[in-house]
Amino acid sequence: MDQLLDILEELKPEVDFENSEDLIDGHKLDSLTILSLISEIEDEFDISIPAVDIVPDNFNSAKKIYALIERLEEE
Amino acid sequence: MKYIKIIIFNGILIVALLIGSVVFTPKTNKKAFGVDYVTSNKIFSEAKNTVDAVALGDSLVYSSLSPMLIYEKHGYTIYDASTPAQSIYQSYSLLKRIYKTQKPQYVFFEAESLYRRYSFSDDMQNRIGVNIPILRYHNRWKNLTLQDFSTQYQLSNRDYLKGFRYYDKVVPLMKHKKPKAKLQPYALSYLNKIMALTKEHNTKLVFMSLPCAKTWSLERHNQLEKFFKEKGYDFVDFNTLPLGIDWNTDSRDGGDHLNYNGAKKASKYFGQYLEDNYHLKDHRRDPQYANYELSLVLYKQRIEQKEMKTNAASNLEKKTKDNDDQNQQNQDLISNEGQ
Amino acid sequence: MSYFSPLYLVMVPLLMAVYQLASSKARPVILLLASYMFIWFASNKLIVFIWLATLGVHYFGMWLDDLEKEKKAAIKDVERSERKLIKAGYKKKQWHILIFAIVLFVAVLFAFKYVGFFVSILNDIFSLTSVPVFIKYHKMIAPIGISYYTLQCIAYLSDIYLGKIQAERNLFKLALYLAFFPCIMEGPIVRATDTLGQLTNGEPLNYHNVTYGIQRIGWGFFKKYVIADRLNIPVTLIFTNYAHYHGGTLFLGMIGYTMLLYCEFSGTMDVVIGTAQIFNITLPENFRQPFFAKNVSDFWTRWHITLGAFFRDYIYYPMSLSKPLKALTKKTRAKLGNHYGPLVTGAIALFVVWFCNGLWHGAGWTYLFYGMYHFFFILSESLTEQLVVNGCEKLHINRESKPYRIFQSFKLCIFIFVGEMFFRAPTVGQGFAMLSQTLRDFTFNGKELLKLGIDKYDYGVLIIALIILFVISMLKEKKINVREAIASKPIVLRWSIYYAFIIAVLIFGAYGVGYLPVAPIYADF
Repeated sequence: MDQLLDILEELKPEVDFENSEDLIDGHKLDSLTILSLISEIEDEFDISIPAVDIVPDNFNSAKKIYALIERLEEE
Repeated sequence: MKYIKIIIFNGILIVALLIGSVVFTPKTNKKAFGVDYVTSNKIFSEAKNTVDAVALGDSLVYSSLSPMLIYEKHGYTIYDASTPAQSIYQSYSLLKRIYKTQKPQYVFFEAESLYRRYSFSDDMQNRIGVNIPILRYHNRWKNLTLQDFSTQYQLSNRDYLKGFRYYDKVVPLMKHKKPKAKLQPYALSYLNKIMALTKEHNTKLVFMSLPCAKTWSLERHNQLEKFFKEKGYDFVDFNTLPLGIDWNTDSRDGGDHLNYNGAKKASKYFGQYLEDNYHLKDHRRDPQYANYELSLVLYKQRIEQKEMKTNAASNLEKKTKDNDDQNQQNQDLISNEGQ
Repeated sequence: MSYFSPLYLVMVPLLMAVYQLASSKARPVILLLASYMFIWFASNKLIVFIWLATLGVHYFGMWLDDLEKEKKAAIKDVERSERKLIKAGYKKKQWHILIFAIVLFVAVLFAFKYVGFFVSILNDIFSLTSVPVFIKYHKMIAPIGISYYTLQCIAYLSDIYLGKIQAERNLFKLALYLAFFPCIMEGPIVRATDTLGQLTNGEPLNYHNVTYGIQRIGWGFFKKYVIADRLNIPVTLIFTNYAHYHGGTLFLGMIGYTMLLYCEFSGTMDVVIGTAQIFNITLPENFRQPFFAKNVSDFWTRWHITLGAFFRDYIYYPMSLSKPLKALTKKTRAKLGNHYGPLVTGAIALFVVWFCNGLWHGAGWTYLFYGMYHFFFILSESLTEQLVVNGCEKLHINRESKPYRIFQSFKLCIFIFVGEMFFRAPTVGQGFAMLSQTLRDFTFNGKELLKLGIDKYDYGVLIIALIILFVISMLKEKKINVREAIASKPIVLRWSIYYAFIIAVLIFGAYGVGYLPVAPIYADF
């Protein structure tokens, strides 16, 4: 989780990732940032995020992103 | 409870609209009071039962027929109750209002509006639109006065051009697409209403096609001739008669409408045609029609002024002319797109 | 038939009455019949195209779904290693079906909208290279809403392919999803997950939704009749005779056109969403106070939202997450670092998105230019973002402070005004000519403004109406629900507000003699 928060903070220092629940719905992450985020996550955690999972619900909070990572790691 | 609320809400709304309609109905026919189509509306200020013939229709009518020129020569009293792009709905409602103050012997109807196309929803809109004053005259909010909050009407402002409009611009003939010859069903349904209305008032209804290079075609001519013959009405097509129109000098917009040069020719022929074929009374020297003599003087003065202005303008600097052209173009753009 | 025509205002209450009297099972059928009637009014015989699209999308959807079921059955009792192979085989087959279907839908759209443009380019090339060939082409009238329902079909099939949704086996439900009359002409582009479930509920009308829906429609009429139609004459004049006006007037013309476009389109959306609400259907919003955006990229999450979302979900992400582009990202990240590395991939995907976005608006150079214009600004925003952040820190500017936000919105508005000017201009060349004239001769002339076909009273109404629009937008941006706020007032005050509003729209609307109504702009796209 901390690893993920580090990545997020590096990308967008001004957002409070620990408490935000509306990263996508609140338009805090734009599409280019998400692209950077995905490629970093894929590198760090050695997973591959398929296009199906790029939905707001999976990216609205750091917790949810982490849940997605955990799920993909298991597969 | 909810239903009662809905009913009360709409009830108050309808009352408000009715009051608004009274307020917004024009109380005079001056332009300054926001009346649209001032020239045609001024027919309501003419002395009772003095107009012998009414010419109904779109811009072709007020561009082609100068009632004062015909009066000067023949003494007939004609009024151009024509408005830009007049739809047949407007013709009908205008004629109905005219009958309240006038007893015309003849109504000349420009047949162009039988071809004017409207979508189904525009058709509905027009049918409703002519009948609800607050919608029709809503734009008068710019000119409302205290008088509008009473129900006194003062229709006194007269037009000494009798609905005619003066244009001096010359634009040589341009190419036009061949017009479609399809009589519109909605228009025919209104045509029947107009026929019934004129019959009821013992008016002779005569159909005409005034000179227009843009919308005239042999196909339309034949179609109209056949159509009106079957219905038992006269149809006069001025495009096929020897008026002597030269479209390169007599049009203000390249063949759609006549300018004053053209209007002189058309009016001259029209007057003579009336004399030869119909029975209208010569009112010159009739003291009751003294106002026509006055109008004639004013009319001549006005035309002289306009002609002088035109001549003077051509000598002025090029720049001012460009400006005028610009304004004229803007005007044209608006009126064209409005049609 | 436009959503602003009196006929529509007659049709909706009639439909409400029929809908309410019918049984809950018959209600969706009535909505479908009404939708087909609406389409018939707008495009007559071309209605067959939506029928064909419905049949096609139904068939392909079930095919994809059947394969999915077949796959599940096939992998049930096989070894793990073999499973992967079988899965990949099915995925490939589904992929081929999806691509075939998309190509088919796009080809029909292409035939109607773009053939003329490409024929004209070919002719230009022929005449430039003096090849004695000239291809004749007659412009075809496109079936109403084809640009919108084609996208919905593509989204629907893609969602099935991705496993987000299951195919709808009921042809009738699917037909209503594609043809639902409020959104057939100008969107919003709805996803199956948005409305497919709601459309066939057949719930009775309820007081709350009916009144709120009507209020929403009224607000749309205000935007369209009072603002957009009033602006149409001066804007038309300015764009037709631009050479005759001072730069200041041209600048006002750009603002005027942007406001016209916004009020026409978002006003239509108010009528559309309001109508749907009357029938208890929640449509996705298409606008979210676009002029308060921080930057161009933010703007596009607030203006024509559903179109942006379509391109994002079905072009941008699938493309940038495809294998070759992912490999590219890896390489560029190693070389350019974490921030600029992914931008290369992003830029490629963005380019495709904005090319398609421009083209979707119409076949013409001005639209392609419009797409590239936004591509350019969005990309440069991403490239300079780090610099701006650092710069602000050095200068101790708080990027969340009010003055800075106002500065951002102001800057954004200038970009948007210029962009929409190119969008409206008949040629890209005229767009540049207007721009250079604005910059060279930026003077205002009051007299000139009064010669634009509307008078001082009209300007007065425009200013007041735009202030009202601004205030309401501001409240919405602050998440204050204006309709709720008014509804909670005592009845006398509440009703007075409603009456004042209705009468104001009737009186100050720019309709009838002397005005030129705007044609529904987005219905042509």
